Amino acid sequence: MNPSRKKKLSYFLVSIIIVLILGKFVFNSLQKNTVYFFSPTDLTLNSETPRGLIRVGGLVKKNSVQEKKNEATYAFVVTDLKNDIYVEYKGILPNLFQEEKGVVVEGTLKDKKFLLGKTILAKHDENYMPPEVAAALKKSGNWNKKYDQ
Amino acid sequence: MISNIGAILLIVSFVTTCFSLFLYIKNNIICKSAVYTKFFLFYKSSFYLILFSFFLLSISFATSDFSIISVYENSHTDKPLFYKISATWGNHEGSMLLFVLVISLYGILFFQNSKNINESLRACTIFFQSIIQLIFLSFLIFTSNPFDKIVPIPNQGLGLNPILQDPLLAIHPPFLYLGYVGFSLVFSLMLSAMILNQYNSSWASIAKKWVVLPWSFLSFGIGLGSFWAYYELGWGGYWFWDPVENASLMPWIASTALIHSIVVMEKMKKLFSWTAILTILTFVLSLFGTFLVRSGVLNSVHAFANDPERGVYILFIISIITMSSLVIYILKFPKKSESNDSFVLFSRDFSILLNNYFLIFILTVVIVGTIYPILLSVFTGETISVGPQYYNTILAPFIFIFLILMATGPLMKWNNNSLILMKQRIFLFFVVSIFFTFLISFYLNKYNFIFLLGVLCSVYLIVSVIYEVATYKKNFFVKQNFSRLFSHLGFGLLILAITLNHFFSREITAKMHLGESFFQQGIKINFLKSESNEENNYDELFGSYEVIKDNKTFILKPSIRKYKQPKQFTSETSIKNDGLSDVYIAMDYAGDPSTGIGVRFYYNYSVRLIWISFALITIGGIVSFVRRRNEKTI
Amino acid sequence: MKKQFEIYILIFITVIFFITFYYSLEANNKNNPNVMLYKTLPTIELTSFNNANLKQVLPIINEDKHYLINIWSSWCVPCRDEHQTLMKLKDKIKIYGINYKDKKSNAVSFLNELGNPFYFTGIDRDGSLAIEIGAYGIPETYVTNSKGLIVFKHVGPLNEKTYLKINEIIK
Repeated sequence: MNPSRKKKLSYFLVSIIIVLILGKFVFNSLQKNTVYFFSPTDLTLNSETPRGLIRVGGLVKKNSVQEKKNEATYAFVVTDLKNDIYVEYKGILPNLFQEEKGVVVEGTLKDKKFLLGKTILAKHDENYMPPEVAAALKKSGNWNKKYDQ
Repeated sequence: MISNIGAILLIVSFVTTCFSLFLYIKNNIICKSAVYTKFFLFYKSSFYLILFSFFLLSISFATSDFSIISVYENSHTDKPLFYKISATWGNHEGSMLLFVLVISLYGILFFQNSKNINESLRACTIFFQSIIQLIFLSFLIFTSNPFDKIVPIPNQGLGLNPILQDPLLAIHPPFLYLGYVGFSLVFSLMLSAMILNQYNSSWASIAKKWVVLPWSFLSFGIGLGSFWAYYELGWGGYWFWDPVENASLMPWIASTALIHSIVVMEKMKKLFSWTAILTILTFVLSLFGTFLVRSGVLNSVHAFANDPERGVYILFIISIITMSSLVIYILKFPKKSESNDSFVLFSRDFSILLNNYFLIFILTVVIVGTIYPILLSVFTGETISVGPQYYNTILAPFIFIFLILMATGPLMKWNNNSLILMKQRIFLFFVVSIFFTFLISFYLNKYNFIFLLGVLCSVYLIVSVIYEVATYKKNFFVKQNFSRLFSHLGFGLLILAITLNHFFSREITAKMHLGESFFQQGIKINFLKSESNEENNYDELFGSYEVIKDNKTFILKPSIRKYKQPKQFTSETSIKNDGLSDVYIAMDYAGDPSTGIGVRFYYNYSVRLIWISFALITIGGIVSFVRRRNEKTI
Repeated sequence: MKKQFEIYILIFITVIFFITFYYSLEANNKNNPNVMLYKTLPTIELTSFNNANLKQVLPIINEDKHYLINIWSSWCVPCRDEHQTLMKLKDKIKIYGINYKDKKSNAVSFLNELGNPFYFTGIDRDGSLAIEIGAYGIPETYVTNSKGLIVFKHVGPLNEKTYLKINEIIK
């Protein structure tokens, strides 16, 4: 192999190695920062309890919002009309948070039925329902032998 | 009536464009005549037709002509006139008309500013630009016609989302379009140069301004969007790595690489391939961004109307354009070009090559973060979102190194190993930067490693720029330097400001009753009083808050607005500046006010420096168009 | 030769790109309601809400105009949202309601509270009728023409946009 070819080959190999290292680096960071979305029904059906930061979406159940004044915490229930999950959230409720309207809460699970909410994701439009929530609702309103009691 | 004319104009423009293409093909491809007058004439007319059509659409919006569906869906008689007009492009159909108008506008601009270029290149560029114009004109007329009618004519419109009733947001789309849609022209210019075998360093001289012009608009548009998000959304942030934001950032990164690449191509006759690929990449990313925000695949706080059907068409258009341009590249890339791709270590051109690699890496990171959720939903059906920390963690170290490159690169010589020359200066910059870094960290009492690194690298770049300004010799004053100096300085300041902002901003959320006080993190907030106000399209509740920090007092008056049509609440922030930082409050109104009103308070450290940096970066682009007395062309 | 090879690879990659993102559009549109569009409404027999002896067979052929079928229930929150729109449509088009998996008393209170837009309300106690006509979830609305052809189908609550569309269709 002549020297110029050798040079080209070594450049090529070095670049591949660099690309692989960078790729691994990027992939790791991606995995670490990926937040999965679940509907209350998904959580009920899941055999394990998802760890780490997750998002849960659905409608805010009517008459479920309570304020624990001395702890500066809100408690409410998120439902997809089939299953519920209880959420506790420390912070201010955003403007677009309303009972019977769509909501997405980001937080960690204490157990499958209890979410410690860190952030409530608000959208711009009162009529806007987050697509994940809409899909979850349709899924649950669907007559499906699998979900039948 | 007006809507009918508007629709007809679009159709006539479509026909005119078709005819001009036909003329070009018949006369200049088949008969090989070099006469283009009729071709140009028809092209110019197609532009005026689109322009007039756009004008008519704006009038329909201004006069609340609800016989047109887009006016009905997006406007209301109570809207102030300014927002009635801006609603013209605040919806999918109208904005697509603006999109087509910008394509056509760039064609005309090119036509008028290329009189000294050889006719065949000129005509061929317009030929390609017309094809792009025709494609999007078809998309507009057949799938997203802004002049579609509704019968019976409603009395009143559905109203415009109050979030969109904001002066900055109103002008944001036009700037973005003048930006990323404008890259269509250099794309056409490149294709025609390849076909005509004129893809060389003189082409690069011509093409450069057609990259810098849209780049400047895009930089401004992105800065505007960031600024708007900051004061309107009320979350104290200026960038959320939201997919829609990324959609405009991706072409920006690619075009920045393109600018540098084209300079090397012009001066050193290198990087011919890089420039070609980057040109295609920039335009394709612009289109891809358009696809992402309109097709409904993205879940984001500010995604456009969801219409998967149109998404398919746009996807198809992107595929065709990408494929054909790459085929032309593969087939017509000059075999024996003047290109000589050997690089000398520690030369200016080598720095730019490295710079391109860095930018491509950064671009890849952003692309991956943006489309990963989409790909996952296709292959595994899972719904996820990518947190902003992903971007921050990866990009930070690379941007720090990148800053050093930006500082040292421009001082090296072209095609010459400048290490010996540079050694002293590099050392000098280091010493000065370390000194200032310690000064800053001492003053602010912060010794976090990332913080120090961020400050050091950005100061390093700033020092190098100041050095250049301080040492330029009057007789060797080269205009380009100022353009680069402004933009590089802006970028250095940007990273410095972002670093400071990241480490020193504060956030406090509390629920307060009238008369209550709250104290945390050394800041005291008093809820003084509340007032009501009524405008013709909303009712407003103001809260007066007194903020005391470091013995300074600020009175802030945020408000909550209850809009009438559509029924919606918005929270208006109140911001006052403390030097380069901001004292910032927004109110939340959920549930029962008798339990208190939620308040989000932010102290945004050196955020104004961020706006200044955006401005400097943009100015750098604009400055390159200022001609000096003894220069004939840009 | 090399160029040809490059072009083939290019075409291959572009096609993969197109297909992947095409599916992303599909994935987001998981519940594609248009499967039944322009098909004839399957025949079902509704038993009246109020009177167990009163039946109605759908589709109704030889009906002069279009008519609307709406699947709803009292426990369905979005059904409340769209009820206003149904009330608006009540005088423009005949609405046949299918009360889905509901308790009669709750359904009656619902209608008493929000108004009754239905020309005829049928009961679908176990949801089998909804499955028959290919419904995805509730609320769901069909508009059928005089030949029994489904000319409009919407999953989810009706809103201004769909209201407009329906008006267009029945004009």
